[in-house]
Amino acid sequence: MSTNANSWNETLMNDWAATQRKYWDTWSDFARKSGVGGAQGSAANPFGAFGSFAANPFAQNPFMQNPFAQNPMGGNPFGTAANPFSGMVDQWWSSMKPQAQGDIGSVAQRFYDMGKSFMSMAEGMFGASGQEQPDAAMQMWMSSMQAALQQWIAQVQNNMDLATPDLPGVSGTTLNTWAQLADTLAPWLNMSQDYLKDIAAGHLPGGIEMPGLGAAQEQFCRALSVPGLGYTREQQEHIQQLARHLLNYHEAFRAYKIAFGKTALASLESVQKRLQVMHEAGQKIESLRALYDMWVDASEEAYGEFVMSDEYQVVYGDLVNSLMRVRKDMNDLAEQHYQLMNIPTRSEIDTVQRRQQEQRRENRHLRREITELRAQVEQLARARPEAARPKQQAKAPAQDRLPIDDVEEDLTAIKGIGPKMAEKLYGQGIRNFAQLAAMNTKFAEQLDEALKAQGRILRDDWIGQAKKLLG
Amino acid sequence: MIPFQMRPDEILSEARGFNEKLAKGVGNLMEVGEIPTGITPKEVVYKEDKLVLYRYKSEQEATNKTPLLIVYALVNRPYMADLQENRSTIRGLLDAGQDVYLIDWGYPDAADRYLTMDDYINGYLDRCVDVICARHGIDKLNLLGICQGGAFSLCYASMHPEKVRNLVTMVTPVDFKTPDNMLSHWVQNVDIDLLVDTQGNIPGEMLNWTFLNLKPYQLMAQKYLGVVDLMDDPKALKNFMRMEKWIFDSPDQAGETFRQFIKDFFQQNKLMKGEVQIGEYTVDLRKVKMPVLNVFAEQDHLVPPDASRALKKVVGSKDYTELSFPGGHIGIYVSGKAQKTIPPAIGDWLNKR
Repeated sequence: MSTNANSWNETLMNDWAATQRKYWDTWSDFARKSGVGGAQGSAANPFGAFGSFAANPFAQNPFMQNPFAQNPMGGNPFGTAANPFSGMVDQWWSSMKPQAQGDIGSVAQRFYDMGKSFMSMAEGMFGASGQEQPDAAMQMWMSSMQAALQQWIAQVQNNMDLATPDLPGVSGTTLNTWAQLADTLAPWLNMSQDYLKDIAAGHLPGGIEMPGLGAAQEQFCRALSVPGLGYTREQQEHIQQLARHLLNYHEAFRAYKIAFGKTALASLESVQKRLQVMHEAGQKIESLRALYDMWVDASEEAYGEFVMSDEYQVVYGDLVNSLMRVRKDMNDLAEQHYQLMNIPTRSEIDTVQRRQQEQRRENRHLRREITELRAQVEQLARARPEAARPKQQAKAPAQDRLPIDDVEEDLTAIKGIGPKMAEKLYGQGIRNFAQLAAMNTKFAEQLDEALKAQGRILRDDWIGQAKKLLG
Repeated sequence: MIPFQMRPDEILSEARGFNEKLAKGVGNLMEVGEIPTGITPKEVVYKEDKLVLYRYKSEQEATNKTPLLIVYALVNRPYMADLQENRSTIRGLLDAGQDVYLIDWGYPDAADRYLTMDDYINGYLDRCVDVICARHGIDKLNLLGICQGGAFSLCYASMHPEKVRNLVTMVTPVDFKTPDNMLSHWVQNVDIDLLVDTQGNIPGEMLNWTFLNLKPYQLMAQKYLGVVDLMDDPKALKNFMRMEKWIFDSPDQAGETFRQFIKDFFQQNKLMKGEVQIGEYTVDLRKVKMPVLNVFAEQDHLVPPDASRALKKVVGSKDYTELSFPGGHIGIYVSGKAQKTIPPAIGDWLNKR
C-alpha cells in the first residue's frame, strides 16, 4: 500500500478508515449507554425510532427503517433499505468501485455483494438483540422476510413487464447473472410486453421513426424495417413469430423467477428448522459468522433439493429453450437483411466452415493412409531384394565412359527429348547422336536415374533412335 | 426459542471488525497485480490449430520411461493442475518420477464450431499421442484424463487400446444418470440441437453460470466471507486470486463437440451402454483392458463419486484400482492434503506398471 502507483488507495483507505472509526464509535456508545445486556428495552435501540416496516414491502428487517434509504427495494436476504451497517459497505464501495476494473474488479464486486448481505444479517441480529424479547423479535424478523418473499412472488406473478425488483440474496445473484447473460445473447429482451403482444397480433411497426417508443422498441423497429422494401408476407410472419417467442421467453423467465422465489422461501424454512433443532439440542450460535454459515448450509440444502425436482428441470429447460428461439428468430431476421444487401450470412459461412472441417478431416485421413501405404511399399521392397537383384546382376556392367566427342547436335530430334532434357544431357557431356548410340543398357539406366527421366531413355529407345538418325 | 445469544455490543464489534477487514482486504486485493498461471517450466513440443502440447521440465531425470500425457477438460484451462509452487499436481507427478506432457486445448472461436469429438479424440489427441510416442520411440504411453478429459481418455483408450499402456482417470464421469447428478438433471429438458444450431459455440460464461449454480450459496457468497480473514496476507490473497482467475477462465466449447457430449453422454448415457459413436468407432469400454486407476473425490458436487465409480462395472480391465479422496472436485488438485497423497499415489501406481 505504500507504492506511489497505489497512493490513491492509501488515501482512500485513510479517509475511509477515519470515517468508519467515527461511525462505529458512535454505535458502540449507543450500545454501551443502552446497557449492553440487551434486555433493557427497545427504547435503547437507536433503530427503534425509524418507523414502521410495513411502509416498505421489502423491509425484511422490522427493527430498522431508515427514512433516508436511497434504494427502496433493498437487495439481500437479511437486510433492507435501512442499513446502518451495510450502508458503510455501500459507502466504501462507491468510492472503491471506479478503481476496481477488469478481473480484479469483478472479484472485488463479489466481495462487496457478500459483505453487504453479511452486514445486513448483522443489522437484523443487532435489531433483534436490542429488543425486550429477542426471541420474539427474531421470529418477527424471519416472518417479515417470509412475507417479503411471498410478496415478491406475487409481484412477479402479476407483473407483466420485467420491472420486478431484484430477488434478494444469492437467488437474486443467480437471476441477475442469468439476465445479464441473456442480454448479451439477445437484445430486446427488455421490450414492453404490451408492445410485443401488439406485434404478435399483427400490428407491425410502421417506419423507422417511431416517436414515443422506448429505446429497446425503437432499436427493434430499426432492426426490423428494411428501407424501401416494406414488409414482405414472409417477413411479417417472421416478425410476428419473434414477438411471440419474446413473450414466451418472458413467460419462461417469470416461471423461473417464481421457482427461485419459492426456493428462497424453502431456504428460510430450512433455516428456521435448523434453529429449532439446535435449540432442542441445547446448541448455541455465538457469532454472526456461525449464524451465517448455518444459514448458508440450510439454504444450500433447500436449494439442492429444489433444483433436483422435476419442476425445476422443466422451468430450467424452458428458460434456455425459449431464449434460444428468440435468438434464432433474430439470426433469421438479420440474415434476411444481409441477403438483401448482398452481404454473406452466418449460415453461408457455417456451410463453408463445415465443409472445410470435413475436408480437413479427410485430408488427415488421406495423409495418414498415404504414410501407411508408403511404409508398406518400402517394406515390400525391402522384403524382396534378392529377387530383384539377380536380374540386374545378369546384365553387363555399365560402361566407364562414352566416346569423347565435342560435336554438338540438336538432341531434340529424338522423340522424348525436349529442350530441357537436351540441356540436361549437355550437362552430362552428351552432345551428339553418336554418344547416345554408343550407350549400353546399364549405362542408359544410370543416366536415366541421374536425369530423373523416369525410364524414358529405354522406354522411348533413345539408343535405337540415335542409331537410326546416324543412319 | 432461538439459539442465538449475542449481546448488541458483541454483534457490533464483530460487524465492525468484519467491515474493516473487508475494506482493507479488498484494498490489498486491488494491489495483487499480475496473477501468473502455471509455475512449472515447460516447453512446447507440438502445435496444431489452437492446441499446444507441452512437456514439463523436471529437475531430475524421469525414472518412469513411459511418458504420461495429461488430458484436461475443454471447459477449463489446464493451469489448475499447476497452480502454485506447493500446489501443483504436475510438480507432484514429476517428483514421483513421471515424464509429464499436457494438452492445452486453447480457446476455440467461431471458426472452430465444427470440431467434433472425433476431431478432438481421434484427431488432436491421437496425433499428440503419436508425437510423444515417436519422440520416445515407443508404441504406448500412459494417459491421465481429468473430468471431461477423463471421459475423452476413456473413449480414446477404448478406440486405440494399442497406444495406451496405463490409464488414469481423475474425477471422471462415466455413468451420467446417477440420481445425484445435478448437471445431468438440468440438461434433460434442454433442446441441445436448438441451442447449438442457434448459438454455435457454447459461451464459457454460460457454462460457468451453470457450474456456479450447483452450489450458489457457497460458491457465490460464503466462499468470499471465508477469504476475508486471509486478506491481510498478500501471499494467501494471491493464491486465492489464482483460483478465482481459474474458475472464471472458461473457454467457449466447440458447438459440435458440446452437442455430442451433452446428448450422448448426459442425456442418453451412451458411454455406459456402449453406444457412443465417434468417427468410425463405437466406444466399448470393455475394450479398455489396460490397467486403470480411477481417482475420484468423495464430496464432488460436479461429478458425483457414483458417476465415477460406475467405471468398475463397465471397464474391461482386470487390473482396476480405485483411489478416493475426501474432498471436492477442485480440492483434489489444490488442497494441501491432496497434494501430499494423490500425485505420489498415481506415480507409485504407474511405476509398478
